[in-house]
Amino acid sequence: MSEFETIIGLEVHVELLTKTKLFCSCSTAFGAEPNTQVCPICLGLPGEIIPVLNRKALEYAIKAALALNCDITDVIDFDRKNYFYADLPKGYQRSQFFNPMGTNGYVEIEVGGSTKRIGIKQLHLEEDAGKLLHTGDDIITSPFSLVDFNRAGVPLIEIVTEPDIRSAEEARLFLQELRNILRYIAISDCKLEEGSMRADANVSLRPLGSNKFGNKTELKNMNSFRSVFNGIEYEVKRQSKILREGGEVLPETRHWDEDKGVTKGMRSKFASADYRCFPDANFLPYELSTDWIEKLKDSLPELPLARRRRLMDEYGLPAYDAEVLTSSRELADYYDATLRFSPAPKVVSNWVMGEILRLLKAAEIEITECKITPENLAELLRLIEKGEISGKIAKEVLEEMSTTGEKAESIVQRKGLAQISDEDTLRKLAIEVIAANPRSVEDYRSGKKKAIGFLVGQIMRKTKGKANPQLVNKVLEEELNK
Amino acid sequence: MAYEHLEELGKVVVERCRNIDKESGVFVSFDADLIAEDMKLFEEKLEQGEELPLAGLSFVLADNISTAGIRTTCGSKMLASYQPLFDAEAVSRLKDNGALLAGKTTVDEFGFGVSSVKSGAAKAVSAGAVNFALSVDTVGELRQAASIHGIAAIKPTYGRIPRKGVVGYAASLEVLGIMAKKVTELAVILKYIAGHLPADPTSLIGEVPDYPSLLEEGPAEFKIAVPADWSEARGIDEPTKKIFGTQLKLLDEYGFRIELVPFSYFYHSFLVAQFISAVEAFSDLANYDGVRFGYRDGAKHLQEMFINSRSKGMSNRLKRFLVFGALVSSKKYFNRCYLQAQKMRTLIKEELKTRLKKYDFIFTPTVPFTNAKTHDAYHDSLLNPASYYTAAANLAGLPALTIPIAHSEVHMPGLHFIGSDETGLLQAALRLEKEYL
Amino acid sequence: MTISKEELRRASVDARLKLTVEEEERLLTDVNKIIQQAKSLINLDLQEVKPTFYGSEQKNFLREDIEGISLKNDEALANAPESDQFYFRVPKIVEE
Repeated sequence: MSEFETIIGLEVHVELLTKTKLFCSCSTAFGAEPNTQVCPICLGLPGEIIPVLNRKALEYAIKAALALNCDITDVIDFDRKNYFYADLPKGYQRSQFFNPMGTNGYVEIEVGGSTKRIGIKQLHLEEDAGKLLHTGDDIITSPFSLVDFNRAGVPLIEIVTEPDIRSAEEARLFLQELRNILRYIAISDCKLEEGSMRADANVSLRPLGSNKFGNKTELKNMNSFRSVFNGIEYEVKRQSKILREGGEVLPETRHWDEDKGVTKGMRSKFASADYRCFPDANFLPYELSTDWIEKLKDSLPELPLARRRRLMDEYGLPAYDAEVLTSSRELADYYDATLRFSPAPKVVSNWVMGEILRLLKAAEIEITECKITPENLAELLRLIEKGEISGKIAKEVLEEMSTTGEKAESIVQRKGLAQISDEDTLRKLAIEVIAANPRSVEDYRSGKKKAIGFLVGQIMRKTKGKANPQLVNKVLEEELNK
Repeated sequence: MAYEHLEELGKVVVERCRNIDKESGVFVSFDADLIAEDMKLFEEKLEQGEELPLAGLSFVLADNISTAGIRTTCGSKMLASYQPLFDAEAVSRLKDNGALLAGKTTVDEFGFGVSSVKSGAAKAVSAGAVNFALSVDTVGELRQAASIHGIAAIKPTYGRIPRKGVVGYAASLEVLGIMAKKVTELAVILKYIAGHLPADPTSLIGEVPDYPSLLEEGPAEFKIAVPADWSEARGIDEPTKKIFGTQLKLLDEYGFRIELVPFSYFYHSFLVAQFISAVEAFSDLANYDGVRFGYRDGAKHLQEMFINSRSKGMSNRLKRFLVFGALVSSKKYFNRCYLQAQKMRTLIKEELKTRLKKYDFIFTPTVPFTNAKTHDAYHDSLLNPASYYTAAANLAGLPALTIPIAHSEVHMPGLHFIGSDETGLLQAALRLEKEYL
Repeated sequence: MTISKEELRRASVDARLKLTVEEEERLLTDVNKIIQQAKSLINLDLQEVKPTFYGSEQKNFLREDIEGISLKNDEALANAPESDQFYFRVPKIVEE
């Protein structure tokens, strides 16, 4: 066991799903030619300085703050965070420094079977910077860099946690829960790999039992849940080695190098420690009405945690099922919708988590694009329940449903897949099979009861799997024991 | 209009502009062909029955106001070859109404401070080369230039004229203003360029009054507050004291009821404005980094490029001002200097508004010194008191107006009025103009 | 309250401006004179006073999330000191 306690705070940037930028009407669409989604305002051209706030971006930020249980500010204003960098068009970034959108919130995560609350210090709205491209192998050897300002001015929310996170695993769980929540409220697609969700971690250690914080490093450049986990793990090991050897952790920004699996210090003598934040006089304040906030609060869907709990309490699902089914709002909606037509929560859960997810994955589509309607899925399960088709046949039918969107019953009828439960027919087949396989019969009669399985298989083959398995067993046993 | 043919008028404007430019170097951009083309275009529009209420009027622009495709240098090496993509909103409005842009005039770097030499817009109007000029007023530059060159100018309420396309240096203070010889011209031009622009929420909403038709109205007598300690202004010279003292007595005859009124905060205004404008300038001019436009100097790496480009692209005077701004907004001085100044601004604004409830105007000299040479001597220093009387109106966002004391043998200070609205200021100025001229 | 040369130098680095030795001296003198002039202002107790950050009291403007017209690439790059195909080009980022 370690003699240190790990203290982690996360700063998460999330790109909002608006059509246009935060302060100008340039498109935010992904993948355009460089520097074609820019205008005098987001390029910071002389005299083109006046921002007009995007209503949708504001709405999304409020929703996010509400979903993270924050207190909401009553006035929206923007401050200038002043520094110089090639991707920053105006020499300052507009951000909510003095009056953040939300403060004092929390997210609950499940750690080791119990619920842990991670505090949200604040959530604020701000504008993104442009994108730098380095020629050559990397930023260090690159003789010059290229700048694309298409992303400059795209609305972001930054979520700053309290230093409540105690391990890389908790950090990963927090980020997953956060992503889940933000996707539920449909304000961001939260793709770490594409940069629409970016997480920096402040990591420090302190001796167990101490309540003073040690020096922290700020970890950047972690582009997946795995790299967040690995980067923090690495940094914790690095810092504990320094501390164990009696050294001091240098407070600095460190970049996670995914390929080499290490963090590296990045220092600049020009890095500013003083952003001189002050209100941007070009943006006149906006007063939030409690009406609007209430309306947005009412519009929030049931959030992942509440939904998980409901699935467990109301339907008695195991925690695992509840977690898988609520991993996206759409999947959970699908599950809930199916239950409106089916009385068997666990059966539906098994089928959704198993066959439905497998089919989606194979077809590379989302649940919203699935042709099997909840009602049709429920009907299929009913056919199994009534013994009209076997589970195995049902899987075939489901596959067919997923491509055609047809109802289960009509597929079963069209293809003649209904289960054969007629005893005379099956007995006739049993007699045939017994006659054709004397060795298995002999095995069975000499005590190897398992040999009956082969005979059952033969009947299934002859009926293309449609024979009622229980009935087949029964008549076979009767004939064999005659 | 006195001229039947706009093209003929264009030629006259060209002639006059060339003369004044030869005499005292007024223009940064001047293109006689462009003037001829514009006039031809206006004529065609008039022939097609389009209404161009400003046809026949010509103007110049201080070179920190954007003009599409015409160099807009802001008087800085930083933007020596910069060509905006769009006209400033006020410029579009003027052109749409038929006013002729004669050229772009010299301006002190980014409109910060004013010297007699570089106030090209005021010179052009004063020489009668054009009817009016647009220029930026941040702590009083427009009014001071007008005062130095013996013409009238109005600094409207903050946001009265959209700022889109105006290259300023202090966002919370700067407004576009108008210079002209005649009060009527100020009123006419203001009518056509004032008014809200949705793309600029800082521009004022609400109907724009028909200023020209309201000029002759107004009360029979105006109540005027003069700061009791007006003669103790920093840097005030003897002639200013004498002349302004005489004016105070004269004004009473023209129906201006003058009262000396104590002010508690007004006297802080020029220092307060200096702190605030410097901090805002530090940030407002941070986009001049050599990346997307403007001057770039060679360097080994990015941060050095920023330093070299900015240091070589800007004058020493401006650099000192910007570093001053960075200094008084740094962590250690943020509360004591910058925030303290913004709080004092509140008190100054409240004081002015309280006075303007009881009095129609606050009346002072425009500049504390009569002589352009004194003005220029102070120009290079951060300790310049030229804005002593003018900065308060910018801090409070209130409109102000300067009109010259005419028929005088020496340089005279302008008379400076701060009011609640443009209409009242223009009415009072017109009445004075009639009495003086 | 006196501003030191070190503070002034830090501020000029933050403003990415290099002053000559003479200019630095001059500014330091001027700045401290201004601070001196502003002493009565700086020492006033304004704890209860709210700052005025804006030029007007107008407020509450939003725009709808509707796409407008952006610049074409050549327009965006028209005034660029250095460009490279679709991009603005800058010197290398790393400081060695």
